[in-house]
Amino acid sequence: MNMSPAAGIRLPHAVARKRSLWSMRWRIFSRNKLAVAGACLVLLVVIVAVFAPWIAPYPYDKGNALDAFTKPNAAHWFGTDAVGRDVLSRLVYSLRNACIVGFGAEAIELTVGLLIGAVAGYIGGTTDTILMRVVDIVYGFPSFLLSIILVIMLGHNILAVLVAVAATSWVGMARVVRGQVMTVRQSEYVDAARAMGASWWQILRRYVLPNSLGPVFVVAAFGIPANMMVESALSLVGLGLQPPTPSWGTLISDGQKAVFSYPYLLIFPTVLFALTLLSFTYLGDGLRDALDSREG
Amino acid sequence: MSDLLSVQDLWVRFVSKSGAVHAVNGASFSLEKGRTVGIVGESGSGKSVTVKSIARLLSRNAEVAGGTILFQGRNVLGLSEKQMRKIRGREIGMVFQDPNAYMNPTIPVGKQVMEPLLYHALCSAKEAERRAIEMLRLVGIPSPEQRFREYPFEYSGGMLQRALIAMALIADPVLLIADEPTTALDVTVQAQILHLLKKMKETRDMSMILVTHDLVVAAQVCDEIIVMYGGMVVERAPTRDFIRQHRHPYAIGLMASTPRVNGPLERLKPIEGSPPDLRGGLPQGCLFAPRCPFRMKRCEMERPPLEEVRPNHYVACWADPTEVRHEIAISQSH
Repeated sequence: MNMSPAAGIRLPHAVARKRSLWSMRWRIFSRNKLAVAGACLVLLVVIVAVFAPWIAPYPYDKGNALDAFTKPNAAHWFGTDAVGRDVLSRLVYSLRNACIVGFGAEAIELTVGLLIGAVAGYIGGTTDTILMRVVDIVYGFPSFLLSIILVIMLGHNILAVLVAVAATSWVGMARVVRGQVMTVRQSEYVDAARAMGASWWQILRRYVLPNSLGPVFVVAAFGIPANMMVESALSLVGLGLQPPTPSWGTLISDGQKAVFSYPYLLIFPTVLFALTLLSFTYLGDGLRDALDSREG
Repeated sequence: MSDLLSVQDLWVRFVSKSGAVHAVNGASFSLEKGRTVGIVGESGSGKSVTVKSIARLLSRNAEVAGGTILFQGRNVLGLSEKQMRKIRGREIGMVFQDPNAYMNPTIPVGKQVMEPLLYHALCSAKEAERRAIEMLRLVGIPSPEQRFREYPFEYSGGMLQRALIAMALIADPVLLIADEPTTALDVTVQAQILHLLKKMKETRDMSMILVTHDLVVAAQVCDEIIVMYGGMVVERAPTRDFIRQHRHPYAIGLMASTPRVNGPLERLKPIEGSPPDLRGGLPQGCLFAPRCPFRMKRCEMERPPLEEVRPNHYVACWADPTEVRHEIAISQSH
């Protein structure tokens, strides 16, 4: 570990200043090269997802049947599929759909999880018991099965998939938030805040939430790729996004049908899928190191 | 009577599934305006719980089973949470044991110091910042304008305790409760903090309760000393009186286990045995009896009341003080 050069020596304040909590956290994060690489890739993924219509060179749902199964070339970088659609364009759009489900479900998960976890942890008592039993029941139910039941009930469009994914994933978030809130609520600085005359709302806003959020961000960073995974899995077995809407799941399922004659149809989506999930995971790892460490 | 604070027959217990713990058992004392009282006792003697009940900051499983706490003529035990909040931080300031644990790690120190002003809407945020910087300067933090923006982890323990004192004092409370304010600090820093507390108390027309397990600390700062044992007040006397004429066997034991700077070099005498078990029911008789060298038949049957033995000097013990002193003289000559 590199020691600060100022260890033991009192630097004049003009030199020693300018180190906020967040700049400290950024230092820890940026030391982790894999996490920084992951963050860059995630940023790239988000940009591609947002600007998909401008980035995709061809429409995702139309192709020229005469061009079917073209090997990768200058016109179609990743080749074309069985009906002559551009694989790159379909990948870009499947990335967009994965992001919509991944981030959208995470947003629901965060909202519901934060609300339920914070209420359960902060109020405690019977409220806590009731809410946590609900969480236990959802947690105990096989989550993929629940998602399947939900998409069958709600339809196979992207919104239904999003809700189906969020419906099962919020429980983990609620548990983490509850645990965090309970720990912070019992901490001495919350006692101090009460002794200074803070109201419960001020304590929640100024003390409990800022000190609980670190692990919440980490769970969210790991939650997004997990949501993408569920979306792809649903689509892979034909229950998620329906053709011609592209999804990693359908792309991979199409690709593996032709794996011996046209391996690129399977390789490109799987490699890109794996890379995206991996970069989210590394980003989450880096966030955990930076946010969870208690600086003394 | 011009008592700022009067605690009368306070009983507090902690309730859990495995039974009740009787933390405070009929403690009484009062504090006049402008005076400092020191509450002394070993761990588990109920001193912290007593002062926490004054600001009604006990944990949820605590239950005040009886008594009254009159603060400025009002019984705080009967106030609503909302009324209580107006008192906390504004009329009663608190300083705690471990400054590192009592500061929010995610907010710059200066912002925390000004918080009581904002909680009670005493002034604008800009004015609060000015006053916080002024307060930080007053408690001896160098270049407070810069240190205002620093986070707790950038402060040393002693500096952080100074900041905590600034936070407790910024809204000009009439009563400062300092709960073991020097226990977590280095000895050299301890003296500075004590000096600061004393100075602040004198210049700001404030009363103070100092909770400590250290008799020396209490003797340096306080006008009056209260000794607690097993959640009861066993002796209460003006500091000068207490040092010369302490009579309760527990107080005598405490004094004997405190090193003297200018006395002859001698082995410190620990008090044999351990503090009473306050779970379940309280034992009959005096709680100190099992450890008391002057124990009599009566001590095991009846609990001695707190009685005035000299003006303003109260002791809860059956033993005749002259006899007790005599026996000590004998035991010390051996």
